[in-house]
Amino acid sequence: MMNKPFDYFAPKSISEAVSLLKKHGSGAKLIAGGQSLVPLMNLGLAAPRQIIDLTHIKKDSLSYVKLDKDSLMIGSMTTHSAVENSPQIRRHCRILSETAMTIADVQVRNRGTIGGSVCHADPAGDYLAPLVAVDAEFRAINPKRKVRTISADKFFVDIFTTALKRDELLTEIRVPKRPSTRNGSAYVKHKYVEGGFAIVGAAAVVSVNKDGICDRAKVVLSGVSTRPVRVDMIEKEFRGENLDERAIEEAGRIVREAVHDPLSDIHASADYRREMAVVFAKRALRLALARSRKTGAQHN
Amino acid sequence: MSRVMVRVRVNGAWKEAEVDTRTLLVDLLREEFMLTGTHIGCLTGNCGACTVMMDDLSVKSCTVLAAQANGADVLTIEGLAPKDSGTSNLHPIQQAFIQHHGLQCGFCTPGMILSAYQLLMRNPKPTEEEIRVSIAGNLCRCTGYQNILKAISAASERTLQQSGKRALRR
Amino acid sequence: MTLYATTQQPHPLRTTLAAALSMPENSIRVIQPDVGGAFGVKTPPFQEEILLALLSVVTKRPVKWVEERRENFLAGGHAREMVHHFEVAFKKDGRVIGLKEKMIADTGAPSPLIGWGMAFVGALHIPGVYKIESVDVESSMVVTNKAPWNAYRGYGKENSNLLMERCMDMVARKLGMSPIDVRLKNFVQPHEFPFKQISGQVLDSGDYPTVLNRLLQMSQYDKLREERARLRKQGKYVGIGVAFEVAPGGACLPDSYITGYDGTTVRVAPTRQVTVLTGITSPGTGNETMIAQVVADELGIEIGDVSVVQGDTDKCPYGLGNFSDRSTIVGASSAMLAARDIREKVLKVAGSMLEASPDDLDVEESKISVKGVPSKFLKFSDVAQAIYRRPYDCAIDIEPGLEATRYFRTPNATHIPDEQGRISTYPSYPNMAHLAFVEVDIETGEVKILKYAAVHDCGYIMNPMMVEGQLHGGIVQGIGGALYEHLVYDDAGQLLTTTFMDYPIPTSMEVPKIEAANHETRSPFTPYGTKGVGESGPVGAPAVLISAVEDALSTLGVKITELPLKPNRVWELIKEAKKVKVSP
Repeated sequence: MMNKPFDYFAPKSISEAVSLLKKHGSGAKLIAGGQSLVPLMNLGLAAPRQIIDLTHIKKDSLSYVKLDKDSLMIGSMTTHSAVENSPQIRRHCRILSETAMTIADVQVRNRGTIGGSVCHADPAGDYLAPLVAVDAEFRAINPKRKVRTISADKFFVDIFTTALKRDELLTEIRVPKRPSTRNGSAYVKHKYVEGGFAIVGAAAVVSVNKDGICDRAKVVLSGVSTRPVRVDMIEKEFRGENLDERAIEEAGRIVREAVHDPLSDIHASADYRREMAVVFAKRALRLALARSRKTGAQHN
Repeated sequence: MSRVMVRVRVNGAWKEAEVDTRTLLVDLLREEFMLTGTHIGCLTGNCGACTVMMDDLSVKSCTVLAAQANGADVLTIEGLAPKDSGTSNLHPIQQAFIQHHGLQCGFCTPGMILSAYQLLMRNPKPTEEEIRVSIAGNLCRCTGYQNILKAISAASERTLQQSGKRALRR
Repeated sequence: MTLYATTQQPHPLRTTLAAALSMPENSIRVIQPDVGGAFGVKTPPFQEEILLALLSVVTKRPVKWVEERRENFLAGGHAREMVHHFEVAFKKDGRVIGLKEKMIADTGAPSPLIGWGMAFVGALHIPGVYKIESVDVESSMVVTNKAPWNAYRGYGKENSNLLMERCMDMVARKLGMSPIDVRLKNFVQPHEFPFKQISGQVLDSGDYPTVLNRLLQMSQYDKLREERARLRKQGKYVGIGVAFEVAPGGACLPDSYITGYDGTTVRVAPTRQVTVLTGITSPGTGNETMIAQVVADELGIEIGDVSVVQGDTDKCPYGLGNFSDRSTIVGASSAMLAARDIREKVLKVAGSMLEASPDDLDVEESKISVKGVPSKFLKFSDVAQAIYRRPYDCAIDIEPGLEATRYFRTPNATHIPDEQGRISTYPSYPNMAHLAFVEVDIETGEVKILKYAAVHDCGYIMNPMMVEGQLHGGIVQGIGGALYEHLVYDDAGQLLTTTFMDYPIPTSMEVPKIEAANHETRSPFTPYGTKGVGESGPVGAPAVLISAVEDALSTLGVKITELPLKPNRVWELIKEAKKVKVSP
């Protein structure tokens, strides 16, 4: 059993949850699916004084996938399985369902949530790179019911650290809808064994015009640094260019330079990580590009 | 508030217990309800020995606080077959594991079987690749997975011959 | 005092507890419930078991201790960290004539666990299945501040095996010969058994050339070579590895509880049900099924009438539990001896009841009948009842009761040194040929196994399904050790791999389909000709994977001298080799 006792609260509403968060301050921790937090608590690496459980909040208030004219809206308590299998997400943000599919294993995907995962902000977390790549926005609410919108790029601050304030609760992730043709995206990851954390995760989002010339090319990497690495140079260099194999090699060179001081651990040295960032960025770009060129295909 | 009342429907019957808030779902099942078929192999959500069905979804019960399961419908390995009813009344997946030598020491088996159950409920006719994916979260140190893959595939064929999902449902 | 322990050796544990706690041994009962997979790690008595017993005696209360995964990683015992320096002398025709080997093992902190012996046993099994006239081995064990070694499936033989297989591959490469031909040149030949190795170990039986050739046939080796050429033309880095393994079993170490006998009691109730109490335990392999099968077959009764009791010091004959393949070597053999005693008594009484000579009787399907006159029969239960109820008439010629306890000792170990001071400690040499076909992603260093095949010789096969299961599991454990599993320490001696996140073992996604077959050559030293199978697999898999990966990267000139082959390390090796290639 875990060493440190804690108080447990099961709020029934979002407002009750944020008031509890405010009341208990820094020792309190929200729990969603618990797929990161509970193992950390079992190992004694996390020991919150209060646990505020979001799983008993009315289900559809935080777990949903909706669409409006401009964006796809995903409730923060939506499980990875639901992200993986949602027809709307598959249609309007394929890269996210593709990402969810690669997370851990069936049981973890059944229980873990997209909001829990991004708030945990593990640098090797799978959603980080693709959410930054698709310009996602995160909506958080505070006890005064004030809603704040944070761009994905600003949301991930550092290792296990987000831009959320202590009394804020992430309620929703919004992804802007894109035209459904001539867009391609892909998430590929390098892992040691199945279910393992990503040594490198690479997300690529590409748009081409009808002549096959690049309108947009984004590459974001997770796992290599304490926060997702946006390779902005790629965007700048390739707009208006024809993305051929030579360009992809050039993209690899840009990635190699963009990865400063990569993380190093027992599975991957800093050098290896940098090189894998290059390899997987190229693989993601190639795949995204191939998808963007499939006529009539709907990828984003 | 370091203790909490938990009420769970386990294998069809409502049960309740007042437990320390630190109690995991797997502890609740094993220590309070004496359902020791669900095993603890790692406590980090890696090995899958603690897999149970919770509201029709397979989960690793060492990563779920007992309190989080309050009100949930839980199915454990004990719920798959009537108690002490002999091998002929075992669940088709269990029978397939016996027939194809899909277990050696048996430690991972309850979790494996529930992962197979989750798979076949969603996808009665899985490919070999789909079977592999379905048990990727369940580690086995004895069998090299070869006969487990065979057993799940055989269970799928057997239940399809019978009445599909109804043959599986418990 | 009763101790429930996850042990492989309940009786020796009881003996240790009695000594440690100064308690009479007969006041202690050790019960081994189902222990999960043991793999050797649960063989020795653990400090915790003694402490728990002490706490319970002192407090007069039940005491329970549950070891968590992290604690097991930290202190449950490590294995295999070893360095080899070796030189090989060979003739132009591929014959190896000399081997000089220095091995250094980092056996961690000194401890009562029995792991250090793996360095010793490894050294003892050089040169394995090969005939080499001149061998010089120096084995050192170094004590460090890491976790102590503990017994683990393979028990050091994976190390000597890897060394020998590397030698064969290197000789082949140097001579430009096929690695298969080099092995065939150096094998101990089928007519030479029992073969006393230069180390003094006596190889019991085998037919290594046939085992290897059957593997080549089964795996369509020639076609595979064509496939390799085809894929290489497409720019893929694919390679074939072939390796041999010998995984000696039935350990008989001098003056120890790791030795070559065990006992079984067969007890028949008047209503015919049989209880078998045996000193061998199950490490999670299901060997109780095999024991029940032996007794049922010998008595000609249904297996459903036989129940097996293991792992209880108050019930079972003193036995040494399970390690080193011994359930089929000494377990099955002692069960057979006891069952045959029962059979003899049953036939004697049945003979007098049927007015026939016991030699003229058949026992089958729980019926004892006169040969050629199937209508003249008695049920097994009729005879069992007669033995219990009629000691003064038809059962008067036998000793009352229908129970027998017999021990079996493997006859072919010797602890009396020969003229050169050598003893022989392993009676059984199950062996296997492995083939792996792999692809290396040279951008990432990842190794993918495209095909894996093996042909094994465990002697007489008692239960084909269980033999196959052991081979699958053993091979995958070997794959895990070769590609993924690594206990990593930092510079301060802190273990960094204490969860399955950091110490990954293969999942269903990494393991290839394994094609396994058997080629039976029976041991002349066990009653059924069994040789054991439990340790087979992890001994040869590392060798075959190194071989295959080296072959895949042969055009780059990559040489592999270490395990495991984690992607990061393979990538580094590729990078280093490329550098060497570029610079003149």
